[in-house]
Amino acid sequence: MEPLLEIKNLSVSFNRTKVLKNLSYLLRAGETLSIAGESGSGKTVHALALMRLLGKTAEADGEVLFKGKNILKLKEEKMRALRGHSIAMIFQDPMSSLNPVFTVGYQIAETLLAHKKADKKTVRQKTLELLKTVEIEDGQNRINRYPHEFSGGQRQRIMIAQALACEPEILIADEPTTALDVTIQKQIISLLKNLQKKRNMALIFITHNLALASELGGRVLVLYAGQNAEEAEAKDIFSAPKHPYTQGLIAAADVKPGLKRLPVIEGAPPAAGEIFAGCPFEPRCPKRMKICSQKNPSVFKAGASLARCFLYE
Amino acid sequence: MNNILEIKNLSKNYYKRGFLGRGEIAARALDNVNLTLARRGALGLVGESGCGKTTLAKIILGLETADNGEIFINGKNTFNAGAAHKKEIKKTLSAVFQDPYSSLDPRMTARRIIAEPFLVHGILKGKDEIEEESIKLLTSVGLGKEHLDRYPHQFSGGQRQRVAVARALALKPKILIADEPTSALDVSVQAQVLNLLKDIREKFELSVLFISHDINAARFLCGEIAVMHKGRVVERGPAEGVLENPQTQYTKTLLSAVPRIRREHA
Ligand SMILES: Nc1ncnc2c1ncn2[C@@H]1O[C@H](COP(=O)(O)OP(=O)(O)OP(=O)(O)O)[C@@H](O)[C@H]1O
Ligand SMILES: Nc1ncnc2c1ncn2[C@@H]1O[C@H](COP(=O)(O)OP(=O)(O)OP(=O)(O)O)[C@@H](O)[C@H]1O
Ligand code: SF4
Ligand SMILES: [Mg+2]
Ligand SMILES: [Mg+2]
Repeated sequence: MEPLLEIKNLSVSFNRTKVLKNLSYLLRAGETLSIAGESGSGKTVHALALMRLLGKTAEADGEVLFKGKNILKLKEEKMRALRGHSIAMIFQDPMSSLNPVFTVGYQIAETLLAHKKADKKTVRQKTLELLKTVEIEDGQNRINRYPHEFSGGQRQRIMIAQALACEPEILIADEPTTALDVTIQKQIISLLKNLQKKRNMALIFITHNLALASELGGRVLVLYAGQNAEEAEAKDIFSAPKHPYTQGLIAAADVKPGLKRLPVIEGAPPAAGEIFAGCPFEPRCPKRMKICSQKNPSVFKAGASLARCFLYE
Repeated sequence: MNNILEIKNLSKNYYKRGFLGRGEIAARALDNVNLTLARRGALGLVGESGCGKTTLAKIILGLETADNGEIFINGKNTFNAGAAHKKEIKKTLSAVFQDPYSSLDPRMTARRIIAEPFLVHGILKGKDEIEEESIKLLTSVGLGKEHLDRYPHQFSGGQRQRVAVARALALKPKILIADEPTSALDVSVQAQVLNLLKDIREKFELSVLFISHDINAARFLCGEIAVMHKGRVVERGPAEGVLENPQTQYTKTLLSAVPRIRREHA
């Protein structure tokens, strides 16, 4: 099957500070890809780059091929047709991306009309259907309410409804559950899973929570300091992580009862744009070797994973 | 007296502002809460957003007033304490909060931040004495002398939280209240701070009230767990008991929603 999305050596800089470095991956129709990494690792920047929403201060390099066409080179009007229509995104902060002065019904309806997924006659019905899809009860009444009249979890679901309005082929969900309680988080994860199956939509799920990526399944890409550290199927990465950073993260996230001390990764992640002669994880890596401070490793095959680490050269 | 802290029938409502004084109830933040913290024990208070955890911490620390109920520290009622007793309570209790960015004054160096409690309470006077004690405190949280003259923005998030812990330990408190001390930190740094809390708990012979929505963190640090839901404590007991064999439906729901690393995938 031809990949839906192919990212090749995508780099992004702000004022010549490179925050995303040579990211590459493939995404096929209906596939789930979780992108995990800590704060500042480049998760959101990568998503904004492929939506072409980065703003003027950013410089993006490389290729983002959607069905073989490089998005980065598209004219803005062509991109506008693609954005929302073929690729939709749920943003990290639902309160800032829903407009507080319009009812939620209006905002969903507007998207439906803009993408010609409904006309004046059918738009109300379709909006109600979407609210039902994301499990907002009592749509008839809720449709006329404003964002602040909903809870955080409900707002997040309204964002999902709006993103689904245009029936995208790729849905990018940027930390859609970070601000939510675990019980609501669980609902949203199973909602996304179901929707994705039903619609054969590809899902890019951005998170800092490895356990969530594990619950979601699919493939996992771990970012560190703007680079991909490891990529593998969820089942492989969680049963046999290869990159020392992934190993440390999984050990720290998988707390067993009765532990005297938690396993830790020493030190802290690098500051934005910090320049390394060698592997960016070297200062924290328990397995570092001599070569690690001299050269940045490229990506090597490591069992069922791809890992950017000299251990697998 | 085996319990260093006892909370009895504590209730607190927040009210909307009405036209003439108090309006209707905006939130029942605490509803008849009873809890005890054993001397040198650690109690993990878990529950979802808005269930009343921070409100409880603030009332214990005297930063909020309760509508009803009593708090005993070392068997003494704190609400009708005289001035001298109040001062004693202040020294007994200390706290670390969620956000190490906003809880440290950005214009102060670590030296100043840690010295502040000594100056306020007039405990150590000499400059050398304060410096010596500050270095000891920094060392006990895994920092050192070289960090004394740095400002908060020159530390990473985890280091900032260490500075906050060092400051909280300055007056040799007996009780440490930690309200979500790791939730603003990077995933790979959270475990460091949890280990630190465990170390200082032993070293400083502290009793700890650890507030978190991270049940795994509470299990790691605490012998006892209390689960809050909508202002009430719905379940409490030894950590393993509550987590392995929950008795209430709410605790079961909460535990089953915690995402877990899965090694098998369908
Ligand atoms: N508009 C911008 N101008 C300058 N730097 C930026 C801009 N947007 C992001 N950055 C920097 O790029 C880096 C990557 O940021 P990004 O938002 O992608 O992180 P993230 O992985 O999404 O983190 P988080 O988990 O905190 O959301 C960070 O160092 C950030 O400070
Ligand atoms: N100053 C206030 N005025 C009005 N209502 C308040 C105030 N502070 C808290 N509340 C309400 O009291 C309830 C309990 O809040 P509290 O901050 O104690 O929750 P929490 O358990 O600490 O939540 P979180 O996990 O989100 O920190 C919530 O419904 C909250 O909205
Ligand atoms: S390349 Fe070296 S320093 Fe980097 S992760 Fe691998 S072993 Fe560690
Ligand atoms: Mg982000
Ligand atoms: Mg709180």
